[in-house]
Amino acid sequence: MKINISNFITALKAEHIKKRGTGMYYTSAIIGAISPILFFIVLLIESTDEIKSELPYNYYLKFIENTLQPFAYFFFPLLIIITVSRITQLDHKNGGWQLMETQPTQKFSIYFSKFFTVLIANTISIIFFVFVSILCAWLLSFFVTVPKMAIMEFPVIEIIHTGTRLFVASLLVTIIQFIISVLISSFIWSVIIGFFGLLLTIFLKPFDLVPVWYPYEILSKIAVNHKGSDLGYWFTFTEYISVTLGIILLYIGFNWYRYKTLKLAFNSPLKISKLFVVIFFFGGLTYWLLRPNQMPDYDKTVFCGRIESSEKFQNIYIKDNTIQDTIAVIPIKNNEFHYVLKEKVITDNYTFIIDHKFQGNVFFGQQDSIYLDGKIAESKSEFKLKGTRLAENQMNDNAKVNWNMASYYLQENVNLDKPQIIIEAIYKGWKKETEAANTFKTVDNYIPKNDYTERRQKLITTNYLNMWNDLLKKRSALYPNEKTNGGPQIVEIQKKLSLTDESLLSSTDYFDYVKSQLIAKNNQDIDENTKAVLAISKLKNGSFKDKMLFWQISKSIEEASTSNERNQFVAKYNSQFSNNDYRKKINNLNAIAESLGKGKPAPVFEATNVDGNKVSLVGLKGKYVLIDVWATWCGPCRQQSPYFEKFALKYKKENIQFVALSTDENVQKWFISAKSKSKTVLQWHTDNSKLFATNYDLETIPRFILIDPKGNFVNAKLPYPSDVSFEILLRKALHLPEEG
Amino acid sequence: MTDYIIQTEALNFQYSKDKKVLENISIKVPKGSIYGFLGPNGAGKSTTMRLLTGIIPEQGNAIKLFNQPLQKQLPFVFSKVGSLVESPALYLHLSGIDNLRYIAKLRGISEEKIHETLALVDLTQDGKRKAKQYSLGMKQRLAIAMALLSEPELLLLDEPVNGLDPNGIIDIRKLLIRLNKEKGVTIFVSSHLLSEIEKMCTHVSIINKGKLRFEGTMQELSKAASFCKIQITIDDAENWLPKLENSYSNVKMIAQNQIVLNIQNKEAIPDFIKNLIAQNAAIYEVKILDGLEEWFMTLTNEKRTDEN
Repeated sequence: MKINISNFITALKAEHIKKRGTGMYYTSAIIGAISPILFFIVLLIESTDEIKSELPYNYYLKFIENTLQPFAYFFFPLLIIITVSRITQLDHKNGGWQLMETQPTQKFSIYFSKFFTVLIANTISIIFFVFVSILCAWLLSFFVTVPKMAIMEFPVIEIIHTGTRLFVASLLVTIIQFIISVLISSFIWSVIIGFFGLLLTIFLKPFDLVPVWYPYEILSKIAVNHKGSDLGYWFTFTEYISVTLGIILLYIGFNWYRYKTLKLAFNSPLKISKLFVVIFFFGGLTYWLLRPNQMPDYDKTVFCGRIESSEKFQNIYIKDNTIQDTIAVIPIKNNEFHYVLKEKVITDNYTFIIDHKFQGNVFFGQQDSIYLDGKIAESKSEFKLKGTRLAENQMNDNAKVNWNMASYYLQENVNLDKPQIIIEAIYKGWKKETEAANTFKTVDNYIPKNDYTERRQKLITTNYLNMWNDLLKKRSALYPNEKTNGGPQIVEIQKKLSLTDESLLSSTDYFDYVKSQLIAKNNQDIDENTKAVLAISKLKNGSFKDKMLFWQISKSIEEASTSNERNQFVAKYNSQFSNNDYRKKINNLNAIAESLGKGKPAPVFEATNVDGNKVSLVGLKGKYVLIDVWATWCGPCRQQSPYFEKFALKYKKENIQFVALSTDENVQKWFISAKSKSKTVLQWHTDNSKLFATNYDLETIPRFILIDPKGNFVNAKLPYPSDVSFEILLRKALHLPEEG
Repeated sequence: MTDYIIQTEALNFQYSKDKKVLENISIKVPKGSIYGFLGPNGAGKSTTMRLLTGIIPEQGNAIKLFNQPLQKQLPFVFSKVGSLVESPALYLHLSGIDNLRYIAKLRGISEEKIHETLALVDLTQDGKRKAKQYSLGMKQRLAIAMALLSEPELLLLDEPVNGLDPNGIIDIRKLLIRLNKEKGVTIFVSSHLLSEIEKMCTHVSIINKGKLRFEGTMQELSKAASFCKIQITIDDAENWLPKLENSYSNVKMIAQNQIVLNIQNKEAIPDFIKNLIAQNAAIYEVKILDGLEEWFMTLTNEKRTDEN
């Protein structure tokens, strides 16, 4: 063993004499530095001094993460292909392999001294990549304004983490290129194979066809998941696979080189059994790593977490998504919380709301332990959900909008005369999407639990069946005399979905589908809402009916055109609920709708103007008031603001006052922004934005509210000023003639 | 018992099932000899060389180096063996000195040896130049220097004078003879040129089409090729023909004034000429047609005809 090591070290030193003058390590350094330098130049040219509101982040780390993409996807693999090819070509070109084999040097030393040299080159490249990134980031800080939420500490541990992950992830690519380059003496083949492998990832990526163990994919994953494991491991499972697969290949590759041919390498029982041991052990490990995991259940139902913020928060509310019922109020102490839910929790999507300001979606149920990892800075927030529903919540967040042919046909009314084409598209899309629902895995190879996957597939099925309903509706309108037959394909889809699955009723899509099935046979000449509510009221009493009814009534409340119609409707059907909570909730919704209705008094609120004086709506009585509710951080608000100001100038002489009401948390920001706005618009800031939000049923901003001279609502939800109808409604309210 | 440095016992080798490249090659290379391994191109010389150096793995266990099976000694036997196989293996991007430094590192030899060896092959002046700027001869000399660097007990040289100019050939030959005499290095040298082998070897073997045709000392070789075919240009050849036929064999007139005949050996030529001149013959030219070279050719051609 001692001889082996000294023989290896001698070979390694000799290898370094041999590579003199090739500049191999310099190449590594340069290629490592390219991507940070390019990024630096781009930032220097492109950088605007606009400071976006963001969560605090490490300035240097962010720079590295940005440069990681080109490095891990392209420059690093490129370097590996080049280095390996060069170091093996030194000997292929000059007859060096024979020369080395006629020296007192073991083949192991020959092979691995070269391999080790490549690893050194890789390491140099990684080190240069990291250090040039830091250097460029530091230089950049002299030319470009560094946002004030940027943290300027050197992220030592994160750098080591990224560096070692890059090194380990690159092993498999390196090993494969090395084996090929040693065996094939022509330089062109190893380069072609390398580039082909590299490009294949790029080609196959959009189709989701790249397997997780694909060498270049393992490397490029680093750029995608720069934080690495969700579960706190140093390496992710694909990086371990890089090692286990690498060892198997290296074992085969070395023996192939050692005995010249694959046949000679494994021609005796001993050699074969050794190979089997290696394959069995490391192959087994690979298999074990590749096998997806599911989180086990927890013995309690827990919702806990931590919020990283300079602010202090009081409570987290967990609400269900159907009737917005609060199922838990969790107190937060020092921005940390831990809560055991005693009552049974139906596994479903819920909304968590932190102090009425920040919210997110969480999927969980009985016997789940959820850890909420939140970051909040001013108006920005970021929430990560870990624990037993890690994969489910990640899949929720990453849900892609699937484009499919069927919805295109239906939207554009293409092929309506050939229903078979659309049915085919529906079936294909459904098949593909339900299968794709099985493919999600986290960085640590965790997949959602079966209940989630099944639920997701049911929702996908719902979506496709709604398309089918759409088709039926369109066909019966266009071709009333033709029958549309779904055939076995639609029957197959329909079989997958029960019509009484209460757990799906948090989704309006499912409600729509069940409703459509309930009213399908009703040919009376009445509107759909009435048909639906009639059908629902015939259902068996229970929570399924309650939920259906709730959706239907709230929909009717929203769509009712007069206060009278709404009240009648509510009065007629509200008694049908078995559960009183729904009744209360509906009454509440109705009250809010009522309070915002035309002619109802607009709730009074207090505000402050730019000069710091208290102001209120009372002071504007006798004039129409048009309010734009906005905030400095809100993009769509900024977009609408110029239109709003344009109308303010246009109707300056009319009996109307335009008010821009800010709901900003940060008064300073509002102040600076408001100062620069048109003087025609009054710039106000709410003193109590929470109260305002409740009273005015403020769900989103910007919001445009028109109030008459008596202080009553004309319209509590005007369309956006960029919309043509905005001005029409405005002129109508002011009793101005229509414009030519 | 003679001490054999290289010994093969019925060495066989085949790349594919039906084609034997080497068949029953048994050679014995005594210690301290310069052993010539002679054969035309494609005879199996290089394959033998590669087998002796373990570059291609042996199919069996027929090769012994230093009285030990070769396979068990790989790769450390090379600390006693210097070799030059086929085209010179050099790193063209390195200087001559760095090429030697590389070998010195692998073999654990002090760097002082490098300059000594460079001087030995007359490359001192060019040591710092890159090998790619060297002429073919210089490359060959550098490759030999790399084989010599560790003062091995055995030198395996495959066509060492290939591509050298006459002066270079002579220099290398002198160098090899000197190494053999002074340091007792056993040298195994392959060549397709009989003249080359003739001039420096003590022992020789001849291989053709994968079979060993001859093995022995140089003296034994001369004996085996114990006739000499000469051609004389002489006036009045017709008259001389019967006279010569009496004393020599294979006498033939090939042109009006040209006769070929066989005599015992080269050494007999001066007496043969004296004798003719004494009989007033007008001789214009005497030419050896057929010496060892010709014999070598027949030996190797014979096989070709055998097979056809």
